[in-house]
Amino acid sequence: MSIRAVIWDLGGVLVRTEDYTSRDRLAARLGLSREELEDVVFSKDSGDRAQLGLISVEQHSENLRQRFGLQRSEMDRFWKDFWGGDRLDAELVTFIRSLRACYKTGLLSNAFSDLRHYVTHVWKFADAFDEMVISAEVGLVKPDAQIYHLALQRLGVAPQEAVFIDDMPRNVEGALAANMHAIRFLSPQQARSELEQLLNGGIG
Amino acid sequence: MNTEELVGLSLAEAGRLVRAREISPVELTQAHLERIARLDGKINSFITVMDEAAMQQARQAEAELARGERINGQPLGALHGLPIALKDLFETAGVRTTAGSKFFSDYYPEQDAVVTSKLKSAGAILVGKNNMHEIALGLTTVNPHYGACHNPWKLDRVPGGSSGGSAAALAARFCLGAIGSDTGGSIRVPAALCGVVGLKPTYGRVSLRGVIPLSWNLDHAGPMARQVLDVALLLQIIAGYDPEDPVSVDVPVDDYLLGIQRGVAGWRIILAEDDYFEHTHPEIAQAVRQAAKVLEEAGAKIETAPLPGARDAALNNGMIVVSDAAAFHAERLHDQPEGFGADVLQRLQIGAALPLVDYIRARRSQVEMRRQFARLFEKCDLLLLPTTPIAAPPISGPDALELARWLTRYTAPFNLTGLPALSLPCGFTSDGLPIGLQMVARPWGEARLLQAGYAFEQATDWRFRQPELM
Repeated sequence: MSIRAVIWDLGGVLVRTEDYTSRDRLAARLGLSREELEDVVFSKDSGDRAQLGLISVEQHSENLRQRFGLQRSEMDRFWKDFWGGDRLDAELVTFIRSLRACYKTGLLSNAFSDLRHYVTHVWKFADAFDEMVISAEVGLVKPDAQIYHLALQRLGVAPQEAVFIDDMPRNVEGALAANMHAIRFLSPQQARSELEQLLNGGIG
Repeated sequence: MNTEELVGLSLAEAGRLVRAREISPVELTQAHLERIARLDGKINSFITVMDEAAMQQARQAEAELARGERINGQPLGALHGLPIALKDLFETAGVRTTAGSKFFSDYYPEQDAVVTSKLKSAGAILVGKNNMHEIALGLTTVNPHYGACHNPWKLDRVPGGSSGGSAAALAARFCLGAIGSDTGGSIRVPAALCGVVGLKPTYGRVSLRGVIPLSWNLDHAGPMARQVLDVALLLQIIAGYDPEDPVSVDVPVDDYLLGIQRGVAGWRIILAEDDYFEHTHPEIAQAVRQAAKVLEEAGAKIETAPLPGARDAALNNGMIVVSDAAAFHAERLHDQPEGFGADVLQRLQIGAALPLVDYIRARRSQVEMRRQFARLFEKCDLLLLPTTPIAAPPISGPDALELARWLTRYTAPFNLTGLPALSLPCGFTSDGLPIGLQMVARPWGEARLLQAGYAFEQATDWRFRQPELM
């Protein structure tokens, strides 16, 4: 069966933290290591539930504020520092747009309830995708098989007709378990070359 | 999962199963509507059952679940596909909202109350509008216009009030959660009498816009359910600052589930004991002392202490309620007094005739009591007392009215002071009626309150008892 859809993860793939200065500075100010801070933001109950859409990103922010004993007015700065080193890979986005001529494209991200807003109005690349499946909107997170199936269903393709690209090994394994093709993202060059091989090389 | 199992789920568990696509909103809603149709004739816990609208909402919720988002592009909410009921004083656009009163029997609001719209945004399925004491001014839910509501544990007993239909519907497993209102005990008393959980939040925590008022100074909206976790889930949805509600307060909303399982080890808990509590039925007093022991075994330090001011606070609360109610209903009271039931009319007339100086003193005592009660929480984390001094009184008979007068004795002080208070099941009387334990915390302390309630609930198994309804 040939590939008909290419599905992308966002964090660590399309948007990558390339400069850790401001995040490290924030962590140090809070008396944590960067890994500890990331763990608190992305998991540790509040982060987990925010990604599942059980609480809004505002509630998650409030939880973090209380946890770190910050003022309400300090939270803008917190998030600016946390995300400060993130860069959108515009070249990769252009590449995805070019894929749309021949393939369906999708975004499949474990993220908070405000991601669609960012993709649409801040980064402005919602047009690169036929479908965006965001964990906080759909109440499911990768690597739960159901979220891959939901993405496939929305794109109208069978698992074997889709390839999924993510930097996290467990999410790649989840896609493989759902019978999709999958590529572990290590760098844009590596991912693009593996993808092109898959699309044109007839491996599938 | 069969119908019995579906209606026996907790709100939290049903939510998990719906989101995991293991049960569908349609089967869940259908199971509840069928049960209402089959059994509510005996209980009369609903004034309006929204069966068609609920099924339509459920079908839409199911379609949205398959899509992974709501039809309008919004994320699936935390209550997606879960059947919830509203006390019939929360306005519902296009759905009759009576406040249990004859005067509102044709009132179809144009807009949703803020609480209603928050529930809808969270994906809840509204199954109906619960029976209540007429205009919320009373504790029995023996409603002269829409019929008496019966306690599912014993049909000849009242469910309490004024949110009696809400508590009865939960005990009868007609819904997974409900929203009530509390001006002197109207969430906590029926919760206690029906063996469910009810939370009156801090004054100003939940918007009252679109709630038909009883008292502008003392009304509180709050969640009810069969388990503490469910109440936390509902509060999370309905809590929050509403700039358009003049009594709403801009305090950040805590995450009520984060840390709910942390327990009470090291807490200082005061068990209220003085002559004000002498009239508590011995079985209830015993159940509450036993509850304190459970918390002690969980690591809390229990002290007994008097609660001076409770009596005055309850009395003053009552005065303000009847006066405010008389003000809100002034025209109806003047033009058509016969439109009110006898007990409510009497209370409204007392309110209308209350000397101004008494009302002013009552409001002044409110300011003082707030400070006095807040000070109590400088020394302790939680206050423990019975929710009611007696279990559910009979619907009719010689003692019915007299007994009902006792019901707000222990709850009303926390309306006057605005402190958050939770009622949850802590046992049964020898004749099989539920007993409520009341926990009170400092202002905005709902998260801690729920944490204590959860610790007690998990250490006991009262939540698994259900009334037999054939």
